[in-house]
Amino acid sequence: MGAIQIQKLRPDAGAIGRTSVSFPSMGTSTTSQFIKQKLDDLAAPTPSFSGIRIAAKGLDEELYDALAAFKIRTAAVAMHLDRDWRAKLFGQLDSLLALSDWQVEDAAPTIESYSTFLRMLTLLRPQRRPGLGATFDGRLIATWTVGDDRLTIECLPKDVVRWQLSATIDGERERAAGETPLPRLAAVLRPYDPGRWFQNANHLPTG
Amino acid sequence: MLYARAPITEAVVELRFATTFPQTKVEAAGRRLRDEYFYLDPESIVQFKLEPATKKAEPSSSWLGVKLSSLDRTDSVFFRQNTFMCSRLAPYTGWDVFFARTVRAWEVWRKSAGHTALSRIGVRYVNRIDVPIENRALVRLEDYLNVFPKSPDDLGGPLSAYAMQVVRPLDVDDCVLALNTATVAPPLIGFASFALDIDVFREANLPQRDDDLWDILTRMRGHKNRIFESCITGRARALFD
Repeated sequence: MGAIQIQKLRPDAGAIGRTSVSFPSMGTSTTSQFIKQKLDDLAAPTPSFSGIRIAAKGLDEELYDALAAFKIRTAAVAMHLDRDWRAKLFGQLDSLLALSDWQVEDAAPTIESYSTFLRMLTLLRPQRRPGLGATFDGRLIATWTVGDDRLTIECLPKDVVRWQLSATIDGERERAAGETPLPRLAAVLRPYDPGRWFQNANHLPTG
Repeated sequence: MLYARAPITEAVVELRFATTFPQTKVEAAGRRLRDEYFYLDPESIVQFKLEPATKKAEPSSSWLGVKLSSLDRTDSVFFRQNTFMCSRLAPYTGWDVFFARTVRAWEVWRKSAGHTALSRIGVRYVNRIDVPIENRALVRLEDYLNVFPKSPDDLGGPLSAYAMQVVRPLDVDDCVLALNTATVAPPLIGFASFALDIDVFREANLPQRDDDLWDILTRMRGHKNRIFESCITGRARALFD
C-alpha cells in the first residue's frame, strides 16, 4: 500500500506548489553528486514559475515583480477559482500595485503575505471579493464592509492572519480583534455571522 | 477528455535547437511578437562567485533570452539562444488554443532566425492532483494514482513524502516518456497534493519541415493524454469533473 501521512506543517510561501524533496546528507562520490543533481532538477520550478529578479533596483521594479509573482502564484490555484472572479481580482491587483498610487517610502507587498491571502480566499470562498490594501511594511489587507459592519484581515506570512471587526449583533455594537492561524479563522469568525460580509455577490468562486 | 477543473498547472511545448543563435536574432524575434503580449522581459541567469580576498559573493549575470507574457501572466513564450518554449499556466483552455499560439510564436521565430535545426522536441504537461483531506490522517496513493513508489512495510510508518521519476520509451513515434510524480506542498489548506508531470519527448528523427513538426507534436499530445488517463484512477477523475 502506498499511503501518505498528512503533514500539518504550514509551508513557506516559496515551497507552495513545489515538489517536496528531502535532500540526503552530503556525499562526495559521483553517485551522490548524480543523485543530488537529479533531486535539484526535480525540485526546480519551470521557467514560467521562476525568473523573478533576485534584487530589484527600485520601487517600480519591486511592484512590477510583485504583481508578476502574485499572478503566477494565483495560476497555481486557478482551477479552483471562477474565471471572472479571478479576472476581477487581477484588476484589483493591477490597481493596488500601480506605481502612481504608491507611497515611495512603503515596501511592496510580499509574496509571503499574498500567499496567505490567496490561501485564505480559497479556504473561506467568500462570494464577495474583499477590498484590497497594504501596510507600509508589505502586508496585504483584505476588507469587507457592509453598512456599518466591517471586517479587516491583515495577511501575515505562513498562514497567520490578524483580524479586527466591528458589527451590530442583536442591536448591540461589538468590536473584536485577534491573531489566528488560517485553518481556525472560520471557526473564530463564526460567532459574528461572517456571511454578512462574504455572501451576496454576483460571481461565485468554484468549489 | 475535457475536465471542468483540469488539474493542469502548466502545459509546455519546448523545442531545443541544435545550434546556438546570436542574441540579436533572439531579441529580434521578441520584438516581432511584442505586440501580441503585454510584457516583454529579458531573462538572465544570476550566479554568485565567492571572492576569497574579500569573502564577498559577487553576482554576475549572463543573458539567456527574452520572455513574453500575457497581462495575466498565464501565457508565455520564451525565446532563448538555444531553446524555444511556449507555456500556458492554469486555467488551461485547451490544446487548440495553446497549439495555435505555439504555431504563431514559432512562425515569428523562424522569420527572425531562419531555418532552425532541432535537437529535441517535447510536450510537457504538469498536473497537480489536489485531494481533500477531510479529517483523514492518511491518503492512499493508489486511490488516486496508478504510479507511485513502493517500499517495504517494515521500514517504519507511512510515507511522509516521495519523489519518483520514470523514463521509458513509448515504442511509438520515436518518443520517450519522462514521468515525474511527487508530493507537493499543497497550495490549498485542507488538501494533500501530488504532482503528475508528463513529458513526452523525441530526440531522434527530428522533423525538418514545420508541417511535420506540427504533426508529430499533435501526436505527442495524444500520447500524453493516454499516459495521463493510464496514471490516474476514477476517484482522481471525480475530483476534476
